[in-house]
Amino acid sequence: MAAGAGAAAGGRSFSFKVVLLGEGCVGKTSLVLRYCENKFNDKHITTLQASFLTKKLNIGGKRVNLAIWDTAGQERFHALGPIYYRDSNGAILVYDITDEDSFQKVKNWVKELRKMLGNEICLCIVGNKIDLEKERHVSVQEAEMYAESVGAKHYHTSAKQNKGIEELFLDLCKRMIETAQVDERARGNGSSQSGTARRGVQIIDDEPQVQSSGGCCSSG
Amino acid sequence: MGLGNGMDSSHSAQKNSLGSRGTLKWRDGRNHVGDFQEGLEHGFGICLVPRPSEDRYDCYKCHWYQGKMRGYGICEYGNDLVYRGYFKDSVRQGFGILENFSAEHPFKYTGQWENDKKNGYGVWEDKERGERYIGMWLDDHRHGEGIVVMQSGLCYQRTFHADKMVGSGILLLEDDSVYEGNFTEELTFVGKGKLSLANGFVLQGTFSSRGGRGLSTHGVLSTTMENPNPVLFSSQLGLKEFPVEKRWTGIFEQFLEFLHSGCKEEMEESFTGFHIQTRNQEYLFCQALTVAFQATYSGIGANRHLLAMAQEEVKFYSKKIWEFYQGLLRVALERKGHTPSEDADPRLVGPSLVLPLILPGFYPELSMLYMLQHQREDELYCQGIVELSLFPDIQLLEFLDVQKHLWPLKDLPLTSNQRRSLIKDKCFLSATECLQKLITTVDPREKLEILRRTFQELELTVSRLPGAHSRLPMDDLLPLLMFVVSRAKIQHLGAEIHLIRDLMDPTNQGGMLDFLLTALESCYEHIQKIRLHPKENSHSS
Repeated sequence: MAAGAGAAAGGRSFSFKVVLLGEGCVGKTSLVLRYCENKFNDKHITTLQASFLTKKLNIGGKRVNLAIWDTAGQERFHALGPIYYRDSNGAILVYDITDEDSFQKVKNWVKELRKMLGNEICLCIVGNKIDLEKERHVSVQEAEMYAESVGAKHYHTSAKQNKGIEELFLDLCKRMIETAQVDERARGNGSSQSGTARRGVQIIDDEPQVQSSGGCCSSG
Repeated sequence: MGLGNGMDSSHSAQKNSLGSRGTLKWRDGRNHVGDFQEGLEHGFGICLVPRPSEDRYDCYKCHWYQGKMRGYGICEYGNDLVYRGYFKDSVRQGFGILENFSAEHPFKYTGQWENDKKNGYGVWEDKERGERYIGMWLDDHRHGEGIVVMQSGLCYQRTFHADKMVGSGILLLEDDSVYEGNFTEELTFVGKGKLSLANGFVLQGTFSSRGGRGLSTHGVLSTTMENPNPVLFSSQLGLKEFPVEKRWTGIFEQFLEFLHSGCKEEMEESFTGFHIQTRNQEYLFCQALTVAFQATYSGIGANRHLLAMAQEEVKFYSKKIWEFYQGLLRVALERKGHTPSEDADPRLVGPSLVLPLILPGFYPELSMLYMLQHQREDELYCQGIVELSLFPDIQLLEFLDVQKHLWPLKDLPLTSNQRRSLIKDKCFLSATECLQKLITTVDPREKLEILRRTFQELELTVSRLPGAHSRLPMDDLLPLLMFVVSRAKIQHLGAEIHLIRDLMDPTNQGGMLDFLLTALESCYEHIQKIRLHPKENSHSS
């Protein structure tokens, strides 16, 4: 739509789709619930209170609308994955640090995502339940090295203690913005416009309609 | 045609200030009844012209402009031909339909005319052969790119030159095999070509016919089956060859002209002829477009290889109608002395508002195309549904691994037998019944709303269960939804899902409604694979 080439940096808004993958009991849902919980406005909860969540952020003047899609973790639904992760900008792959097997599942997802979506999707590998450090079965070093080897970032979180979650999402958003901008630039210079057109990124140049009050507009 | 003014005529008319209404008779039997101005036919009129050496008349019900036909008209010729469409300078010009109702060579042409001849994009149906040509015309000949669809479901795309096929083309056979190369009008392969069979085998070589005794070929048969080319299977025709904005230009031109003339009331009928009955601007465009759409995609045209063209067309229509509305608005504002503001919202909001309004006019053909395109998956899904319907509720809940604490009526003190009879096929009834309404509407917005309410019902039922969280993660929600989908037994669910996805407001992408639709789609996919393997292979053990 809008030619992104000359657009100013400020006043931009991005819409990202992030898909949440991981085995059943690794706590992926509580992770996101913790992140999206709005303590000031309880009524804001959407119909699908735990399986589809949205969050608005403001990162350096860029507005970001995050839509987080939960998926069923049961093995027999694995084949349905592509339906959910197509057109995603990011994926959060959660494992339980006390469960070696769940880490293996994450590896399978990574392989599949890279094969189907290439490098355009930002991957986050998340070791959850660090409150149970004593029972750890997946070594920190192994997990981090693996993440690096597949071009993903690794995070440690505890949904229970609300640790590491903000950083995870903030970091992911920054990376998705970067990817979107690189993508946009490439499309601006590149010859074929329609080639990569059907990606999920929606970049909207929204001229602020109400500019009555001068001064800086902080996040709402 | 040549409807010049005759030499000897008698003219009776009643004069009034604007012009006159009257009858003009020629010696040769021609007879014009209608409006005149300065001695010329001007305005609406009916003209009868006797056919030479026949006791029949051509009847023109048209609009005239300074003695010549202009605008919309209907001509019923004495030889059973009927033309409905636009004229200029007394010849067919712009969009029009010529139909032959006689028993010999019945045909119908729907498309563009220039200077009384078929010129540009048009659809020709040969009713005798059961064949339809969709494509380009030049001086009454098929000329340029064209698609031919046949009654059998076979279709091909070729380049035509003065009615003859030239170069190579692509032939899509009923059994899903595809031939790329040269072939005759009798569909015999000649010369170099490539035949890709539905099972993935590819035969590449030189083909020739052996005088009606089959096909002979020198070539290579590759059976590697590496890629049973899915692209070919679902190949959609005509997208590149007929850019959507170049189809039916004659219809859109009329409306632009109407706008440019300042939408004068007396002009309305001559421009918008196809719609005189309704007189409602909302349906103005739609009627001519519906006629064109049906001429292309109904009957023989119900061919899944045309789905992409049809879908693209409907979306384009809503865009054009939105533009037309904005044009009308501008004219209305100007009349009232307002200066129209130029900051019309450039986003896609308008067309997506229009789409649901016009969709009913195109829905029968469009949904048929979707059904054909997704026939295979829908059959698999149906088999899955049949298998699942054999389960009573409790067993189905068990089979789908619905968490026990989400079973309705879980802790009523009933024996398992009592419970079974009590809630047999009644679990999540409200959600099931809600989802079944999906097929009662054509509007993608309403369909999505029904889907949203289905989830709401589902969660409402769950929230009544003691001890159950109403915040359902997908791990819990998906099996429940599978249950509801398998009980709702919606026919052609695949066609429904894809139609909704293609036609929904693009701003929904990535949002909650997209998520719900995706969840429904995943159930649909899953049910296709469900087979309970009744142990029929008993003799093997």
